[in-house]
Amino acid sequence: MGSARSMLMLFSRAARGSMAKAAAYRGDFIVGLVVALLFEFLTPLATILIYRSSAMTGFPGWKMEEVLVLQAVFLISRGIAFPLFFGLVWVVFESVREGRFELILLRPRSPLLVALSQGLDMPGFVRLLGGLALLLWSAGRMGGIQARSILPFLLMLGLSALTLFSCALFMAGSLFVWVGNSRVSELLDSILLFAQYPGSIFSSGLQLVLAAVVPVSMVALFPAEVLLGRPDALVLPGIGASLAFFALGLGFWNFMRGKYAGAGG
Amino acid sequence: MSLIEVESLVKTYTTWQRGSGFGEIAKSVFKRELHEVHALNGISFDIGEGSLVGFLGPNGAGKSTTLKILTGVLHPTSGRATALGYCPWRERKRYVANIGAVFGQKSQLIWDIPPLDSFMMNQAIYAIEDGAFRSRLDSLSGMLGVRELMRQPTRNLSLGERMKCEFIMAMLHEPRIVFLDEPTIGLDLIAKESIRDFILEMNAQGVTFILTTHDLADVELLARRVIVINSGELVFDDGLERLRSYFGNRKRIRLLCRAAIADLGLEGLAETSRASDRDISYELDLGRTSLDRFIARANERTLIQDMSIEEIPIEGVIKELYRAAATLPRSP
Repeated sequence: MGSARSMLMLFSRAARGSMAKAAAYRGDFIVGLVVALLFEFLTPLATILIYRSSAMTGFPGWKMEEVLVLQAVFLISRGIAFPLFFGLVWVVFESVREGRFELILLRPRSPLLVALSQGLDMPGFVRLLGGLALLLWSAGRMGGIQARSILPFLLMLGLSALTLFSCALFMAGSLFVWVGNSRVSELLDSILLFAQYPGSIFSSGLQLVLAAVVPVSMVALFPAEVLLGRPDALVLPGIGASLAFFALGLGFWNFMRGKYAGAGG
Repeated sequence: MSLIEVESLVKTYTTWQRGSGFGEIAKSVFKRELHEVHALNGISFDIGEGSLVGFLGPNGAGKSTTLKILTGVLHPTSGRATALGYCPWRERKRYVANIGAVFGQKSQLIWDIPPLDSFMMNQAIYAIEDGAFRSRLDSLSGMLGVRELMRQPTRNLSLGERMKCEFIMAMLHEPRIVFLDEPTIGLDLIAKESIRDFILEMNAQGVTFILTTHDLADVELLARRVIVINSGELVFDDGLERLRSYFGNRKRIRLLCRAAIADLGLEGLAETSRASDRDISYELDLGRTSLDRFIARANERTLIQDMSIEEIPIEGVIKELYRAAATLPRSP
């Protein structure tokens, strides 16, 4: 069996298992979904309030609809990356704490692949709908999006997902040594706050850090700028930084995974 | 031919400890007192194809460390190990495709969905062809009697039913070596018997089993060879019968007589318990006094009403081995 076909089979079985788990706890899934959608719309709602308030001028150089496109891109990027990659963090969190990670190491596959498949959250993709709806609404109010921006935007969205995947690798990797640290998600939430607003509100130094050091701007700002047809000069270094960030994340994961010694037998 | 070869395996790791006082807890947030643990001190052994080996030792003896090294999960500090011709920790992916494991206290089944879904997940992980998967699943589920159960959510199954499904998970990809860690823990007698029969059946088909357990009935009923480690060192490696006679060829005898039993005055005879003056249990070292002589002497001194002669329970021998730690000479 070819390895691509075999991997496809693995993820299709994992997807089926994930759906079956959600179906087993329907109430939990529905309540969780409603709460998540409500929370995800808090930032766009705050943006609308800021722009409608006569006392505030909004974000410098950005119209309200453009900011909403940026925030919609953020929701879409999260909607793709969280169900695909962030289950990894909780699989590692629980299995390392309980000394069960060896069950993953006993599989004749990459431990990363097995942990990703175990953490796959198919119902989580429903959250994408909120981002897509916001994007369509904001783009509609702007009179549409240029067709030639769509392909570059999709490529940037791929890099955005890769950047979030890198964050998941750093978080999961740290849990091999920082056992049972549930605060890693709060750390990520704090960092991602910087991803939801236009770069113009930050100092130029911070903009450089967010583009080329920890490529947070690649999560939503740069894909949104490309979609809106107004990419800034930091996009190119941002692309390089996001690829380097991924390589570092993968290296960190492999290094930390090598430190796993299990819990007492 | 050896399937597993272990030579001078050493594992040392660093851990930390602290006291339970408030000050010590606060201090440990900033600075932890590290110390070295010598989990394995150079153990060596071979295991042949088709064996069923009991791998025993008290808690903290180094059993889990050895098994983790042999399953490719841990790297040893020094020493050499090969299994199926692979170095487990260097060629982990290719090696683990040929081994299975059942952990009595760590489930491989997905809790919320039926075992069948977990089996299908394993089919994908091990890339088992559809036809081979169906035929293997049919055969294993039939042997273990879980065909009707494997479509129910795992959480609704009893412990015994779940453990049978754990065995299916471990055997679907036809492993050549299976590591069993407390496979019958918490099971009732019927479930234990069924699991043990399954292990014996699979072993008869050529699968090598390495069994770690504290349930010595598992060892007596399954293992033909026993390896005992203590404090990271190998203290016994031989057949079950040799284990029984490790501290001498002894029998346990219960003597019930018509009148009070006088002192029998025999060498190597030790009274172990006394229900009454007429009902006494002994342990007899056959190397010093034969059974014939014991019976003759008992008949001389009193009138035997009933008598039972049993092997020394393996539990007693194991207990002594555990206590003796690494000071014992290694069995030839």
